[in-house]
Amino acid sequence: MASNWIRLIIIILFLIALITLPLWASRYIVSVLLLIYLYMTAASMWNLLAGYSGLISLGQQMFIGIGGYTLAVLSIYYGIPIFLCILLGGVISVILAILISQPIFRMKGVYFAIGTWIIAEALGISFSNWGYVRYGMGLFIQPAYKLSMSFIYYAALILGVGSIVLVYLLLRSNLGLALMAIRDDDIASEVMGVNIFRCKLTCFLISAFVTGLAAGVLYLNTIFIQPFEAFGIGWTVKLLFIVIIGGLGTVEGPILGAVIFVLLQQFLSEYVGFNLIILGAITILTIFFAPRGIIGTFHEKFLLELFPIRRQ
Amino acid sequence: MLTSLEPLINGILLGGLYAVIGIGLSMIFGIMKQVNLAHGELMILASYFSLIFIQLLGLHPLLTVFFVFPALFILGYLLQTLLFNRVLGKGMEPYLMISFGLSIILQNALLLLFTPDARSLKTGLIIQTLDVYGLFHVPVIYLVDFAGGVLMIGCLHLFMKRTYLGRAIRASADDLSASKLMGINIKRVYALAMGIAAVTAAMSGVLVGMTFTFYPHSGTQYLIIAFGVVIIGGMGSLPGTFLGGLILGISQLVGAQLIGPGFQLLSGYLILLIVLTIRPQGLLGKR
Amino acid sequence: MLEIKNLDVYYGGFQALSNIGLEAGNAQIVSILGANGAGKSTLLKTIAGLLKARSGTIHFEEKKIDHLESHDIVNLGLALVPEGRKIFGSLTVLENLLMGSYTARARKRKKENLENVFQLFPRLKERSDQMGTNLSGGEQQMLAIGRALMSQPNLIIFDEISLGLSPLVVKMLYETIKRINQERVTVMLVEQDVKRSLKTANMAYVLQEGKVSLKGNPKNFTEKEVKQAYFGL
Repeated sequence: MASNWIRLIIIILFLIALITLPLWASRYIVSVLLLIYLYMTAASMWNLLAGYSGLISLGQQMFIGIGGYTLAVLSIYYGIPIFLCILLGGVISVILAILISQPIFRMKGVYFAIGTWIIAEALGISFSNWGYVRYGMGLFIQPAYKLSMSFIYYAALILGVGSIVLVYLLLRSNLGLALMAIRDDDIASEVMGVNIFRCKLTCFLISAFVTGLAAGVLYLNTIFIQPFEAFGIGWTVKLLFIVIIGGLGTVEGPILGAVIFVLLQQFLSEYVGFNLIILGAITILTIFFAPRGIIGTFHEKFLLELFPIRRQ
Repeated sequence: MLTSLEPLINGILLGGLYAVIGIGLSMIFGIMKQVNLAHGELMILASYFSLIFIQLLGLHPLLTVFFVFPALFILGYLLQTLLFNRVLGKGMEPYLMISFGLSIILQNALLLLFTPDARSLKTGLIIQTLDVYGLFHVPVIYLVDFAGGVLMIGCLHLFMKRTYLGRAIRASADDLSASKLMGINIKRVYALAMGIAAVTAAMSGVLVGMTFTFYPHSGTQYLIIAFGVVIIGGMGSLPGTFLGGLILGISQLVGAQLIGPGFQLLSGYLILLIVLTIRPQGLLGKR
Repeated sequence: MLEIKNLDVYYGGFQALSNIGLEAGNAQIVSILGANGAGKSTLLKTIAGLLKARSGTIHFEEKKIDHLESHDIVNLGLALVPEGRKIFGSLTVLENLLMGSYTARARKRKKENLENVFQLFPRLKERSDQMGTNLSGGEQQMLAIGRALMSQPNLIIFDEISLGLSPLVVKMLYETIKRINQERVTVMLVEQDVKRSLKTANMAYVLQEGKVSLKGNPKNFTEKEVKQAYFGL
């Protein structure tokens, strides 16, 4: 179909622009886009859980903390190459996810949300009491100093694009079909043989892995990691904002949300302390007036999708 | 010898305080079937309000309740009317996210207004200890906390049992449409219930402020305590909440004694996670 | 007393009631009949304010009530004994009854109304300290009716009160309904039991697929007419 080709061409042109960005754009723009990609990645994963799997997690920050600390510890203490550190960050995040999956999946709905939050808090406290990672003082990720911004940019770009592609392919797969069936009617889908637990677990593990990766690159950029910040609820606040504003349960939502969020952050950086208040307020207002987010409302009104996931 | 019992006794006393912390959360869940993630922040807000009145009027912390209680009641009422009633009947997610957003707003507003410095509601009670027949010592402040907790929960129980509004609240928890048919205005009842829950948060905020130091971000840790109490004891059960408070208080202090002070919070979290896993409805819970 | 005109009620995209027209005069007993799914409960819920109509009007004692919330409608003197009884399980019998007199209007005469209810249903007085959930089906139905009476209604609507109850209990309930009606309270009934309904009522409406298919004095209905009105055969 012609429209499919047009879509593809637009996307490719866009990607070319992004890939060549470090060559023609200012350092500032590169750093902003980098952040957008990373937030987009983490938000897509949060969206995968909350928007498609019905799992509202208030504890994704546990994977951010684990991913970040893995990077820090492995690169500082063991001199392991950065690529590997990031990868291992994702791996250890998955291991954490597997470890907690048994207990956490017994908790339904709001209990699940609270349970994830508590685990993240518990990890934060544990790390701040752990001498190996220098308690609450945190770690300076020395090996990241010598990296160029372009390097980090491309790592972020790969993650960003990769995560969107991943989600898109996932939703078009059998798993995606199962997820949408579950979303529409739990019991009916179970009767038809859909293993709800396995579907949700798979999404949970995938989100853990990718979030862990994103955290690694994030901390390459910020260079300093501290337990309460890394395992802090602030991450969930930001991801919640991004997904709600962008559109829960849409593929494009996290992209738009991340753009809005990062730009807003830049604008609000003057007014330290206010930014989270404003984020919270905007989130609440969005839930009242546009509960499906910008993209969601757009979908409803115009029935257009950039990344169509329904079979045609 | 009996001094080794002190963690146990203090745990029990603290449990009374923990019970009040949890009761507001339990009420909202029992009545509206929702979880208010901003409950901890409402508590700490009350602590800060109390601080203001102490500084403005030079009152004893306990006397500030005359100002803080009405203030929090009105706040709770308005929050339900303006925010939460708008998403009535839309399921769990919107409420959860709105209360979450609210908690972030309150936390950061407090941070802006009061700076991240540690605060406390200064009272001489904190250094006084009671000597019980020379067998062991009990900090007087813990006794005050326990008494305050019991008093508040007792009043709440009477209110629920004896007044028309209390019965209306219980009725609306049982059956929403039947309640409407009785002439109960659900939105107003919810707003009043939220106001009452806020008052319990106010009580716990003042007591906590007198007993421990607090920061703008303290809300989170008390929210988790509230959860602990409610989940262990069972959502929507008044005696259960009390029991939950006792168990949590005891396990925290005994845990701190046995393992180490850094583990006070952590042992609470662990118990909570265990209970969530094996018996999420709690010991005396309804669901 | 009650006047419904051109009522249309939808559940989402599905039209449950079309162009309903209905009248209940003072102190009448009006019966609403129809097969399952014909729209009887929907009609009652709309009258009581639990559902909102898309178009049409409902007037109660000359006042327009279709836009009002349930709690305001009860305050005007219209009570519904809902399908499935829906008593408050964690409240005692007495507390359930007291809940019936929640409105300001009814609270003034709470003591007398309570006495009346206990006279009508002495069983409730015996079990007044029991939890709602500990009552038998028949007792729960009595409680639901008593509760509605506590609100001092001028019109009381009964939704399927004979469901799941023994014939003896149902007979007793219907006698009670007649007594209530004798006190000049208008009654509206939705019933599965066609025979009983037709015996008790002085006005009947039959619904079929959301429309009124037959109306009039049930004493004048023929069996053939009723069957046709029910099933359209």
